[in-house]
Amino acid sequence: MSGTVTETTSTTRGLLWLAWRRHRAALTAGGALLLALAGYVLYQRAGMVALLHDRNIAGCRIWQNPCNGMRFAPHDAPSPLRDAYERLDAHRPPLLVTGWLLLAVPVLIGTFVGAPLLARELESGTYKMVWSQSASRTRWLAALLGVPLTAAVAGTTALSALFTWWWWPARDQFAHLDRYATVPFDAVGPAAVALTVLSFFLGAALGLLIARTLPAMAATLAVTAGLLTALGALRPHPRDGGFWWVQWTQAGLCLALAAALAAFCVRRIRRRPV
Amino acid sequence: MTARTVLTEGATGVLWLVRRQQRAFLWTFAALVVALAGYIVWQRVEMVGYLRDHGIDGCADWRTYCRGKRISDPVRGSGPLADAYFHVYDVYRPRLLDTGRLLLALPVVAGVFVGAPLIARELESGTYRLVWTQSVSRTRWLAARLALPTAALVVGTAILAALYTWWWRTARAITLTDVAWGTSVPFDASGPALVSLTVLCFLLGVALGLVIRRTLPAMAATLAATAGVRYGLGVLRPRLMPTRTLVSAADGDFGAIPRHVFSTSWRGMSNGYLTRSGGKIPWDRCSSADSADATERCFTRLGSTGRAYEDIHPASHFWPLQWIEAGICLAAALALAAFCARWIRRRPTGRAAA
Repeated sequence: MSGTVTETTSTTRGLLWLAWRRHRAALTAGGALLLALAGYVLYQRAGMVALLHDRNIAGCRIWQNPCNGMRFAPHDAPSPLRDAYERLDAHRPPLLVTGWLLLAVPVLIGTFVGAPLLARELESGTYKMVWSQSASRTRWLAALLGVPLTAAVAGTTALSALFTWWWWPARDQFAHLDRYATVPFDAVGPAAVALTVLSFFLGAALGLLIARTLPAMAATLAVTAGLLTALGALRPHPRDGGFWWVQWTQAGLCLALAAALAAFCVRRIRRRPV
Repeated sequence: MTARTVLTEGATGVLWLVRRQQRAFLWTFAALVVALAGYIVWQRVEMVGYLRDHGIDGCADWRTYCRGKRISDPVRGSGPLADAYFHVYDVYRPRLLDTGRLLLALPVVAGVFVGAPLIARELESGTYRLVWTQSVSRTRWLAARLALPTAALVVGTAILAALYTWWWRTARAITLTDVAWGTSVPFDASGPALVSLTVLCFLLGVALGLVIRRTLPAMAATLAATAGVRYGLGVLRPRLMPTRTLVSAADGDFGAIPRHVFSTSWRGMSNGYLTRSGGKIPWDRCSSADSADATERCFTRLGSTGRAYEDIHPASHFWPLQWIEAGICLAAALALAAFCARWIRRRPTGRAAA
């Protein structure tokens, strides 16, 4: 009895070890990028928050007039409030560019991590060897997908948290920057993490269906890009409040779709003849 | 059989193999080009029809009157002419900009999905060894491998860039004057810039695939490299030609310069105030001053007069800049092709892609 348990544990460990060996380069590169970005966000946010406090506009909203006793003055009259917002505008490009870069993360994870995972196994035929081993197919699939998925979720959670933390103090302080636009919405909060999970499973499922690496990657790129565009167009823009409600709803929908895709992968792998 | 026929047959065989391997790419790419070209033509025809129907064709943002009607600074809901203006702004402007962004993805996709796997896959799977033992020289094999995708990419992007330029140039005078023509949309999405950038990114992918010898890492590296190229070109572009300096009246007023000069130029290369001797003091020199008074004191201390200046690229710089950028990209692409040919000649056949 205990023998079976030990065997199961060691098989799992073996599969995990295999997964780690396989993704070592990607995981190391991802970790390094994450650290660099964290440093950048820390630096940028410190500058932005210092400005908000020095100029006394922390908590103000761009459409609020007056705020903290300051007013927008007509045209040429001196206005500390307008000066403050003009200064703050220098922080807008780094924030938006970082947001767009973060938006690329789910797309890249789906294309470069999700799609090749199963497609490569099927294309090269290595799965046949593994399937004849003691581990069941479902466990093989779990180990194959589990390590990169965990890394992707951990990574994007950190990224999304960092970016949300940076953007939140200035969320209502940039003119014409809608909270519900693709950036920042899809780059912050649970929505960003759920998008990564979804695009990862989209890649895996397309890899399984197409069974060839390059076409699967290209298809994943096209589908996730289309998905992001569709989300940006279809998302409701409530007038007041409701931001986190929309965030969690979108995250929930994405995760449900991801779960369906995962179930599809499991079913198809189980039924596939060797 | 003479040696000559064997040689010819060998060569035809390799070319046949190369064509077969690339058929999927060719069909996909052709379908993409046809779809995008169709969309651009349809949108442009529709837009021009709209402009004509509403009497604003040939109008420009910088003119106060068009066909006797006042058009400057339209206010939403103030009349049919303003409504037509805002319709163009709300409907065609975003489509034009989004199409430009989509076209900008072409060089990246050409590098990552076509260039990087082209040789890397052969090296990774070892199939190159079979091909290299044939009678065809490695250089010829490489040339055959590169020729078809390069030709397809050049023709396809040339069609799309031409159509996009054609659409952009009808629309730019209305609602688009705030989009600097030197930024990546529209600049890199139109004219020879798009074509040459695509060729460069494609060869960058090929070269990285050859050096890295594994498909996925080569694709990832190409993605990073193409992003670097795009960024580098953006930094370089304003410096490729000397700018023209616009100078204000003694009180800082630019009113004497016609409005269309500002509206059609790529603005903001540098601006600030002039000294008595005509030297330039850019704004950044006083950017740490934290109030209007402090800024003024700062400029006075640096010896500024009230005369302001702005460095611009006038509209006439668009095509010269396009060709200069295309020249740079094509030269870099040629250098990469030469590097690939050298690298492949020196590689021993026996060594596997370890």
